Amino acid sequence: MANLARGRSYSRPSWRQRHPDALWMLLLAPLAVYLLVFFVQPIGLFFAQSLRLPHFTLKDYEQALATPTYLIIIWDTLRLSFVVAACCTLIGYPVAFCLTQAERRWLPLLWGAVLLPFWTSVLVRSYAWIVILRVHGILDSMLSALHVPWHPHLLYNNIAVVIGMVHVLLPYMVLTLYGVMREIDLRYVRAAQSLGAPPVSAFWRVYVPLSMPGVTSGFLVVFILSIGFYITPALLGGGNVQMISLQIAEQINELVNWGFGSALSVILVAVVVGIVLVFMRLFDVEAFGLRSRHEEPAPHDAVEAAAGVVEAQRAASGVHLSEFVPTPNPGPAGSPKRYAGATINWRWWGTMAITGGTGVFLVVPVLLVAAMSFSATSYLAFPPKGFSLHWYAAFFGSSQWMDAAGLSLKVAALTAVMSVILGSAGALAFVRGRFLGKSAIYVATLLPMIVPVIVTAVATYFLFARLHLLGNVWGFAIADTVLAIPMVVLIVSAALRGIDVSLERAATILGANPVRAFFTVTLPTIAPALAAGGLFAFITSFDESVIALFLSSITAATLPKVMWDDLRFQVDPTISAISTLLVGVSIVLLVLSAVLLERARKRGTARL
Amino acid sequence: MKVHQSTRREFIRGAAAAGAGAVLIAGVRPGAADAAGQLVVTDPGGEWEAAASKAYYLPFQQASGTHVTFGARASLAIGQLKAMVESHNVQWDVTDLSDYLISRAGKAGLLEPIDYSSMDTAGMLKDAMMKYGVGNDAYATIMAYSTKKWAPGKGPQSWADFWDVKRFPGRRSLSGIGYGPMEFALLADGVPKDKLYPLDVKRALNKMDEIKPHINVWWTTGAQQAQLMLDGEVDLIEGWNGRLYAGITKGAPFHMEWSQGSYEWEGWVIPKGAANAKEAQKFIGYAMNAKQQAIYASNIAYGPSNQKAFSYIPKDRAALLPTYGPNLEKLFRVDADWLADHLDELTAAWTQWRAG
Repeated sequence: MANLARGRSYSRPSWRQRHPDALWMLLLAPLAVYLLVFFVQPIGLFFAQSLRLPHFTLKDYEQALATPTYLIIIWDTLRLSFVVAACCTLIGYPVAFCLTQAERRWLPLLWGAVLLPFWTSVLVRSYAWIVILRVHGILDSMLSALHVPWHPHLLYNNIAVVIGMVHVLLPYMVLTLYGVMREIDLRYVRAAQSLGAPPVSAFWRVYVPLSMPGVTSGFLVVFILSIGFYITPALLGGGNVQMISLQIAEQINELVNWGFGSALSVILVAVVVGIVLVFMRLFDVEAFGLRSRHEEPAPHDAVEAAAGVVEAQRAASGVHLSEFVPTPNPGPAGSPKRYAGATINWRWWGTMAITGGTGVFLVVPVLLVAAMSFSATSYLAFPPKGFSLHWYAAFFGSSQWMDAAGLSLKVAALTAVMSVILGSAGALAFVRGRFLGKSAIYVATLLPMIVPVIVTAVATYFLFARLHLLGNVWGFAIADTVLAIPMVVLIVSAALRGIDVSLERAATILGANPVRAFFTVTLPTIAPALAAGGLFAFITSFDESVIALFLSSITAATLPKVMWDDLRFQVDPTISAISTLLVGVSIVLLVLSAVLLERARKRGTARL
Repeated sequence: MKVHQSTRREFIRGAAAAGAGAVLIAGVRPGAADAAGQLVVTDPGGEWEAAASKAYYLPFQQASGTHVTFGARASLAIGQLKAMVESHNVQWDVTDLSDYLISRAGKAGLLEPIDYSSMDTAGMLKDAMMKYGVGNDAYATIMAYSTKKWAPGKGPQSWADFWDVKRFPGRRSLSGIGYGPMEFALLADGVPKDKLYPLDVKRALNKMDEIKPHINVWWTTGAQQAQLMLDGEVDLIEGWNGRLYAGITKGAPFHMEWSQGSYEWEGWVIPKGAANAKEAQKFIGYAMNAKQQAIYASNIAYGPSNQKAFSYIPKDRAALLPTYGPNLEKLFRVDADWLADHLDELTAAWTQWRAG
């Protein structure tokens, strides 16, 4: 700070120095106002129904707690969500690690594997898993062909539900972890090893702690998203797995007991917020982006030692700002990209094997969906019977489908832009700022993910009816942005925590003003996290079906709404055709970006 | 589907011309006389909408000059209906609901009563004419079994048979939604079908305990029923006649057994505060017409409420419909009024049983 002051003017303290909190408040304000208007206020009004105001009675709560039924279902839901989040962490960690280590030319393929499932409708994906897991299904037949005498019952139970949900949620974990791991300065690890730490303990005591912000954020995203699931559990659990969201949706939408539905929601939200708070304590508040701005990450002894070495190296080599500006090469500038040494090659191959296996796990159901889209039958069939492009013709030939697809794309794009702007400004304030009630506001930001979507849907309906936003592009986008903001905040703050504040400081020492330092140093480093946040937001909106049911008018309906209209009657292969088209488009985009990156790299080296 | 698409395209073009204000009631075609009247109808979409547009929407528009705008809404409309009425933002003039929801919504003040005085009700089944809604089509919940396992007529004939896992071994599926198949459990336990209501929940759940370990899949959607049959996932299934039939026509080797099945009405209602309530009453009167109902029933396998419709329906088609005499006498009517008042307890009991 002293350096900063010297570099500028001596005479008067800057505005920022006089009001150190003002900047952060200013960054947070749009997010706070947005959530107050479009979330807190309508939800508050809706929750008030559980108290039956103005009469005030707690009978809905008494009813909910009179039998252990709902508590049992909440407990089952939480347990399942925990298992799903744990599985995603165990599988996602090596995958994300591998992505940071992979050769550039493999990257599009690996990213493809991770991201492809994102574009397939949850509905057809669940069906693909049924095809794989059922009796005499693909897995069963493979085991028979290999003469394995073991024929496990995998479908219509918890195992199937966990498999299906991990398949849906793994990309969230991998992207969140990647945003953090990519910024880990591997010189810390190398330094620990050169100071005598064996590779295993260097990994566990240096690399893992440095990646913890990603683990905790990813775990939280997956855990909370799992709680809201009910389509996958209903289909793959064969009705044997009860989820609390389904109960709440039934109370609100079918039995129209809004008081009781709100009471259940309030209980659920209270329990989940409690868990989140305990989680924050357990994993240290700082793991949640609430670290003060000058602390260095991971105060582990090995790291401290390593950091000393690194700082010394830096000082000796005469630091240049240009060195800090990230090149298209991922990884903090100047740090080795590859995880150290031949000594741990076996682990490298192990990681590759796990990643390959995960790739198969992620991609096979998508391939099945694609195969089923060419079926000549009027229902989902595997193996597909006959070959037909009928379902593609059905999609392109129907103004209803096309209009819905157009609307959904528009809404999803708006949602991505709005939530990235609001969410990342908020994340910056949370990670760097120091102000009163920060943790409380931070937890409040996560609420849209925790409150059951059906509650948000009904509450938003009342607000939007007054604002004339029903069946309106902006209406959909505003509502979807509320849902997407928590994910953007979580992933961007995880990435911000991972970066070395000294880089920004170095830039300011070298004469950049804080804003410029942010845009030239910090922004490029967190760009992957912003992209991932934007992608999450896009997908959240594109796949959102509950709010869409309420906000759609008969003239403007989103793609998931139209898909669900048909669900009551049949699972039409058109849905698998749409999913396949989206997968195709995303492959083209991935290949295109890979080619462009490669070209940019070549041009870069040519100039050097 | 074809008919529906062209109208939709037309009115979307119309909406674009009418400008931003036309978002909600976008049915206004440029140049259409306002005096001709408007009507906004919503339905569950899909096949249902295709059949209804051929039988009712387009012919009514032609006959009355009232312009009909139609589209799909959420499959469970009552939550949205309540939100609309309570926010004084009623966008629909007519929609359809299941009969127990009609009773429930009516009692909650969400619906306009039906004015039968100006309607021609000749041939209508009495139980279809409810205070707050008119049954358009009956759907039956019945059982179906795999003909690979049992020849038609040799499979289970009653719910007691369905429960008999020794005589009829096989993979089974029952409904997991709502309050489950409680009526069928009582029938399996020997309760006569005219003594079912009020339901003895305890007895029903005791009987459910017996079958619970033998149920492989509890289905939650209509689409799932046909899919389970087509995949050969189960040998015996409880399901909705239209869905079971769809599975059979697509190639699932199954036989439908009507004995001891139940039937319920899906009926037209008018939301409280609908902008065009008068036209809505006229439309509902029109939809009672036997000829129109016959067109409807020849496009989707649900039973017409006007018995005279059967004089326009071929025998082999009629045999698939719940309200066709020989089928109807095997079925019992779900007591919608009783259900509407006791749904909360039933759902709670069912949820508790499932969680236990």
